[in-house]
Amino acid sequence: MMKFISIIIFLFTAIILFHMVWITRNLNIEKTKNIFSKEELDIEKSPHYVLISHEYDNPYWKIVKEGAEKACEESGVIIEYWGPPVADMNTYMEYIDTAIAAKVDGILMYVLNDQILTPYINNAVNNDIPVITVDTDAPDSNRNAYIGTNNYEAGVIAAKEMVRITGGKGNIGIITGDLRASNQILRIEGFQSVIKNYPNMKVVDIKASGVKKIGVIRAVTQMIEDHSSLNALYCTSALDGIGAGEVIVKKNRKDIQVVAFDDLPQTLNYIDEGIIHAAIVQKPYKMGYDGVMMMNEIMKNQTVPKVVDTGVTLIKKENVKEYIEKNRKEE
Amino acid sequence: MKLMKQNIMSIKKKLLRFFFMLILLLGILNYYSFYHAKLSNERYNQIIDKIVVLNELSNLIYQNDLYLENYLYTYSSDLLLKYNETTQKIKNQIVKIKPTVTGSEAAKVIFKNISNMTQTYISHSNAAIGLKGVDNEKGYFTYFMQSKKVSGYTQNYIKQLINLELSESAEVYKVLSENNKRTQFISGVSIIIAMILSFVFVLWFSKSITKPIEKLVKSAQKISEGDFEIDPIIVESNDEIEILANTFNVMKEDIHDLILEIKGKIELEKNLNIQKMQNLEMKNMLKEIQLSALQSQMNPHFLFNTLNIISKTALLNDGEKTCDLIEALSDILRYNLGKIDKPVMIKDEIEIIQQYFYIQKSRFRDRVAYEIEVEKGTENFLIPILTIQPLVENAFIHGIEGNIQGGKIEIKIYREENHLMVCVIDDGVGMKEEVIKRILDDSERTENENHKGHTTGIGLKNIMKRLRIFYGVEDVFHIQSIENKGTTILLKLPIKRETEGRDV
Repeated sequence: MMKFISIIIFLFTAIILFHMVWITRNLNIEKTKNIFSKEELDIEKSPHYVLISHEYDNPYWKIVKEGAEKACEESGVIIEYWGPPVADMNTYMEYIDTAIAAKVDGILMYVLNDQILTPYINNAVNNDIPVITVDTDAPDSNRNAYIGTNNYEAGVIAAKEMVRITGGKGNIGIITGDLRASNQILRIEGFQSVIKNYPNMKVVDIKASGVKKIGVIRAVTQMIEDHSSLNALYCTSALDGIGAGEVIVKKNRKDIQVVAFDDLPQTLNYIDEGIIHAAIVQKPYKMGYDGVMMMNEIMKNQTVPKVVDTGVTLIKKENVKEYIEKNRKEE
Repeated sequence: MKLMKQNIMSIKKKLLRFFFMLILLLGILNYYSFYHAKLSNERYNQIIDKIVVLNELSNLIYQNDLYLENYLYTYSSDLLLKYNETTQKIKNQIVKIKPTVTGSEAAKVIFKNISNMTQTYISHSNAAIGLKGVDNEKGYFTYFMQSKKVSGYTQNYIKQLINLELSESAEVYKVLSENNKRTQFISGVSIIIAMILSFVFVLWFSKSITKPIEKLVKSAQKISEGDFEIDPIIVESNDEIEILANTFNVMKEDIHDLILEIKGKIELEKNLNIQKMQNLEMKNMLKEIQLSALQSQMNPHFLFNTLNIISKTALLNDGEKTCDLIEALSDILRYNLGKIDKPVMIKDEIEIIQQYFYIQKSRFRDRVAYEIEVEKGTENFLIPILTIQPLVENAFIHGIEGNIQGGKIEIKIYREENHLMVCVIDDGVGMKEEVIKRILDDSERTENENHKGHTTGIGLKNIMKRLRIFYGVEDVFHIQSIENKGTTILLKLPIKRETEGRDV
């Protein structure tokens, strides 16, 4: 009997001891979470860049981030991803100041408006922080390099396509994300530089959507209602095309030709369904990836080209499926 | 019977062992709870610590802002001192915070930013103070504004880091919480099980002690009532109780044996006492008899009568007869006055009886007839003195004297198996039933019989008693009598070595 009790007590003690050890281990394990890099980096020694995006949750910029992350992972760099919830000039200025104060090793940034932000960029450069502008340039600043789309050229390509699909006759409405944004301005300028050569092509309206989808829908709806002769839409930022597509479907105006920008999945779907005719697709991933790589080179005091044009692709119904497949493989 | 086993474990050891294990278990449970609480506490503290130090930093920066601003307005050296103090504190605080940032890389990056920004902030502030000193109004104000800006960013980042730490801690909280729950559960269950085990053990243990004790008590009670037929108590608990039970069994057996022994001895002693009593009685009686015998061995009546006859015979000038009579008398007297407890041979007794008959014949002539038959081989047997002689005298008195016609007395002595039979038969008046009964009833003392005519005062009762003592048996004396027909007195004497003569 004694033996039986002894065994039980012994087992019990063993369970408790085991449990104690287990708890101790549990409580002492710190879960390590990485932002961008998978391996432990030495925070002190690794280069530390900051990526300032247009808007934090913008899906286009998420792709830029992805590209940047990948480059960081490969080169052992720490990168922070910043971005205002809504595009706000003051915030960008603050970000640059913060980055300078925080003594980061490099800034990759979106330029909402080059005139306003150029002094800030120069300030950073003066403080020995290299700056690479991404997606939109501030060409008059002291920035070390620009990587992104040639927005003026993109506008030209868009215009040429628009001429083709409308047969040279069109009342075009332009939906743009942000009227202050340099890249949007350039895209419009490029577009108009072509359109003005076609007497039967006219830009009837330009509205800003504020980049948010709701804004887009409101703007497009308004434009369609205001201009009954409208038969084409030129949407210069990613969400604008989608918003336009939705309105067209809802109002059943499939006669309106749309040229959009960027390759968000819904945009591609609309192309496939024929609701959007074509999209000018940028290469945000490349911008992010190559941007970081360029910064690495700058850090090593190597020379880099001042302007890197990442190029655009024209996606139409003919090649949309192929494009989707290719992207899926790359994921 | 085994008294000690090799692997005995005393009750004390058992208790000690149990308590030791119980205390150990409870101790471990306790320590486990305590340890876990301690760990949990530490972790909680860690978390809170992180937040607290960050908060402190935030406060210091805020304070520093005030000192700076006020100093720049008032130029008070006191404020400058305070500013310098706080600045140093801020630097120290950064050092203090660094080891607490242990979570994700994101947190570490933010902290790096905070650290750098703090430096920037301090350098801007110092620059402002410096420029103020040299009265560079514009310059110092710019730096002052920049310092404020950076201070704002820093506070922002501190908040961010606090948030991040909190959300990361939420994970830890969850784990801690689960752990706590699990620990509580295990502790609870452990305690319950420990209690149950203790309870069970205590029950079993106390039973293992009380049960044998109960058995012992019952057995002891039975023994105290004298019942030794109880089964031995079997205990196999390997401890003192077992020893107790075993020794109890042994003692019980021993006591039982001793009691039986004592009983035996008592029996023996009783017998001895009885023997002694009998001996004493015999001696008493013998003494008594001796006394009365001595008194009565000489019966005056018989003496008178015989002397009468002798004188008459002498008168008749029968000198030979007179001589014979005198010799017979003297023989009888000498015999009677001999020691009464001395056994004599049968032939001696018969000789005296014959002398007696001779005297009586002289008195009664033809009125008396006698016959003596002694089986060959029995003459030398020993009998107590004066056992047959008085019987003859008795027979004479009752058979002859009372009868005008006279009578006949027969004496037959023969051997029957292991007994010597002595019969004295007369054909006289017989004895009444009550008389026989009275004689045979041993409880009455030797009464004073009417011994007229006897040579001795020795009565039948006396003979019977003496015979019984001498032979140690009851069944020695028989009387058969028919009124007016006769009496037979039968002696049944067992033959033992001591009663036989030297050679049979």
